[in-house]
Amino acid sequence: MFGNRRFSARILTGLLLFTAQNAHADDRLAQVRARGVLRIATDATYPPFEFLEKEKVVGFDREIGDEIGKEIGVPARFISMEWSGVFASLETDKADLVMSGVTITDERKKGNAFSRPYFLSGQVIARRKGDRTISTPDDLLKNGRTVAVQQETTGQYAMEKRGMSKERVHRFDTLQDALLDTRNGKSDAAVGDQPALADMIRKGYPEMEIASNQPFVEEYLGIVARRDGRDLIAAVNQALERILVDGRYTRIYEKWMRTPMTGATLAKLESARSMGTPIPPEIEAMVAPGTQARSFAAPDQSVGGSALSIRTEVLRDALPLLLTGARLTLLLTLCTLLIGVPCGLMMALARLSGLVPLRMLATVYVEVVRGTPLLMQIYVLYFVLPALKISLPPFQAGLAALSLNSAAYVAEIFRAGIESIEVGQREAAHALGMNGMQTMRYVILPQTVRRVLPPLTNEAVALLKDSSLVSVVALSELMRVGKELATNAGAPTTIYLAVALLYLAMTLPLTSLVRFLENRWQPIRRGGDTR
Amino acid sequence: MSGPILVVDNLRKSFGRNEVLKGISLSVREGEVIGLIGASGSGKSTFLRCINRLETPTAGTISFQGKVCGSSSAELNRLRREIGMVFQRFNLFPHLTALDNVTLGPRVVLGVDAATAEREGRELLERVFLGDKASSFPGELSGGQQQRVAIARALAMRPALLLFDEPTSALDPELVGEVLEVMRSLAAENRTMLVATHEMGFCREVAHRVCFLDAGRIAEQGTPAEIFENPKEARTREFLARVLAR
Repeated sequence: MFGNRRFSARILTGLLLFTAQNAHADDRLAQVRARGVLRIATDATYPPFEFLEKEKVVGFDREIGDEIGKEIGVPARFISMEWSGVFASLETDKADLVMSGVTITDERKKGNAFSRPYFLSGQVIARRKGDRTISTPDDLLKNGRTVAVQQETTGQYAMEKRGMSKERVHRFDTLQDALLDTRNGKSDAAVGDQPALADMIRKGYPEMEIASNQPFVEEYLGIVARRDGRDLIAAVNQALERILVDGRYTRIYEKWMRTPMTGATLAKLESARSMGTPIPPEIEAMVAPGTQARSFAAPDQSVGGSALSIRTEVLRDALPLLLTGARLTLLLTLCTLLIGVPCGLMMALARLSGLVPLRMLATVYVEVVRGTPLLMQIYVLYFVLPALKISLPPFQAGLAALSLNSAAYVAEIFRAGIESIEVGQREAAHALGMNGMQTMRYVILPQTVRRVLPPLTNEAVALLKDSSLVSVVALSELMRVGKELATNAGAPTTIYLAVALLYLAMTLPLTSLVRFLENRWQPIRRGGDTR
Repeated sequence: MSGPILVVDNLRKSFGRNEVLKGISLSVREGEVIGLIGASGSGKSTFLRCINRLETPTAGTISFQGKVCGSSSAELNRLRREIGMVFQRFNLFPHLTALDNVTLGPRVVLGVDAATAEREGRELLERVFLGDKASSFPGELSGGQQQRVAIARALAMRPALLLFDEPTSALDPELVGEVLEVMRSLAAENRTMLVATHEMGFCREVAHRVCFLDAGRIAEQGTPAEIFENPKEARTREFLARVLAR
C-alpha cells in the first residue's frame, strides 16, 4: 500500500504535529459520540478499497467503515481528499479516523494510533498476458529487465531492496500509469498492491495479468486515529473483532476482492493483531460495545474495455460529475479574480507609493507570497490556522489562498505596467495641474489597464489551472474529479481527454474576450507619437 | 503691456554634479513674447521646466503674479494650473480622443461641467483648425495635428502664461508651418509666451525679446533686431552663423 507516498505529506504532518493544540488525552470516542458522526478521511482514488461512484465513496474500506460505525453506535461519514491532506485532517480535527489503505509502519506509529491489522495485502507482479518468463521478483532482476512502480510506495522499496538498480525502476505518480507503461511495452512488468493491481487489470487492461496472486512481500493495513485517540482505536479494534468473527468481513472481502477468503489469511490477520498501537487496559475497559448486523447485496460490477480506448459509456457517466467539478473550478477562478485583481492593483500602488512603510510592507508581501509554493499557502490557511482558532471552511480557505497568491502576481503585473507608461504622460498631467491621484486615475491607469491585459489574461488562465491545487483541502474541482474518475472507471484516456477539453472550454472564451477588447482599444497601440 | 507676471531671480539647477543652470534672472511682463534660443544642452528646456516646477530648482526664486512659489504640492498644483505647457513630443493622452484630451483638465482640475467643457473644447479645436478631428485619437493624427491639439489642451486651462518647449523640433519639416501659424495667432492675442525654439524666423517675426542661452546662463538678450542684426557677443554670433547657415 502507500508506503510513504508523498514527501510533502510527511513534511506537513511534521509541521502540524508542531502546531497542533494539545487536546485532552484519549477522549476521542466520547467526542465522536457527542458529535453523532464518525468522520473518516480517505483518498478515494484507490479501488477496490475506496473510490467514487455517483459522488459517493464506495469500496472495501467504505463498507468496513460503515460496519465499525454501527458497532460504535454512530454513522460513518467518508470525506475524500488528496492523500497529502489525509493525515493532516486528523491533526486538525477535521476527521476522526483515516481509512485509506494505510500500511502499518513503525514510523507512522510514532505520530498516530493504529488499529489492529484489518487487511493483509502485499506486492505482486503484473505482466503482459502470456509472458511466462516473468513470475517471481528474481526473474525481474535478470536480463536487464525494467519494472514500473508507483513512486515512494512499498512496491518501489521492495524492488530496490532486492538490489534492482534505480534506473531500472521506472517510478510513476500513480499505479495506473505504471500499469499503462507496462502495457505499452516500455517496462517489462509492474509491481504494486495485489488488490489494486487486480482491480485495475480487470477494469481496463485485458492484455495484462497478475503473475502470481501470492504476494512476495506482505503488508498489513490499519485504521488510523490521532495519538490521543487510543480509546477510539480500542473501540475500532473491538468492532473489527466482531466483524471478523461473524462473517461480515468475509462477505465484504469477497465482494470487493473477488477472490475467496482463505483460512490462512484470517489466521495471519489474527496472529498479527499486536501490530497496532498497544492499548492500556484502563482505556480498553472504558470502551463499551454496541451491536448490530446487516446483510449484503450480491457483487455487481461490470467489466469494461481497454484503458487506452475512448469509451463513450464511461464518458456519459462521468460527464455530470466533471461538469460539477468544472463549475467549482470556474467559480473559484472568478471569485479569485474579483478579489485578487483589485487587491493586486492596490498592492502595486502601495509599492510605488512615496510612503516608505507602505512600500516596504507591500514589497515584503509580494516577495513572501511569490517566493513560497501555493500548495504550502493552502495548507497553512486550512490546516495551520485552526491552531490559532481561525477555522475556514474548505471553499473559503481555498479562495483565500488563491486570492492572496494571485494578488501578489497581479501586483507585479500592474507595477510593471504603470512603470512602462512614458514619463511624458505624467508630466503632461502635472502640467495641467492634476495631483497624484488624478494623474493616476485619469491618465496612468487607463493606459496601464490596456497594456497589462495580455499578462493579466495569462495570469487568469494560469489561475484557472492552478486552482486544481485546492483539492488538498477536499474541494472536488475539475482536476480532482478527473483523477478520481480516471482511477475508478479504469479509462484514464477517456477521462483525461474530457478534462482537457473542459479546461479548454473555459480558457478559450476568456482569451477570445481579451482579444476582442484588445482590438476594440486598438487606437492606443499606435501611441501618442507617430515618429 | 503692464507689470511683470514672472520674475526669475538667480535660478540654479544641478543634476548630480552637473550644473545645468548657473544663475538665470529674467523678468517677463504680461503680454510679452520671449524667444529662448541656444544650442542643445544650453539649458532652455530645463529653464522652462523649472518655471512650472516639473524640475525642482536647486537655488534661486521664482515669483509668479507677484508671489514667490512654495514647494507644497497644493501650491505646485495651483501654479501649474495657471501656466500652460506645450511639450516637444506633444505628450497627448493616447487613450483619449482629441476632444477628451482638451476637456480633461478643465473637468478634473477646474471642475467645469461636462457640457461647458465640451463646448469650450470644440471652440478651442476650431481655434487650432482641428474642428473636424474632435473624435480622433492621437494615434490617428499627424505630428502637426497632435501638437495643435496639445496647444488647445494647454489653452483650455485659461493659463496666464504659456511655455513652449521646442514645440516644432519633433515635427517633419512640412508640418512645422501649421504649428507656428497657431502660435503666431496666439501672440497676436497678446498672450504671455515663453518659447524655446530653433525657429529663428519665428523669433525674429513674433518675439518682443530674444534671450540667447549658453552653458546655463543668459549670454545676451535684446530685441530681435539687436540679437539677429547686431549681436554683441562672439558666442551669439557663432551660434547664429551656425544655425542660419543651415
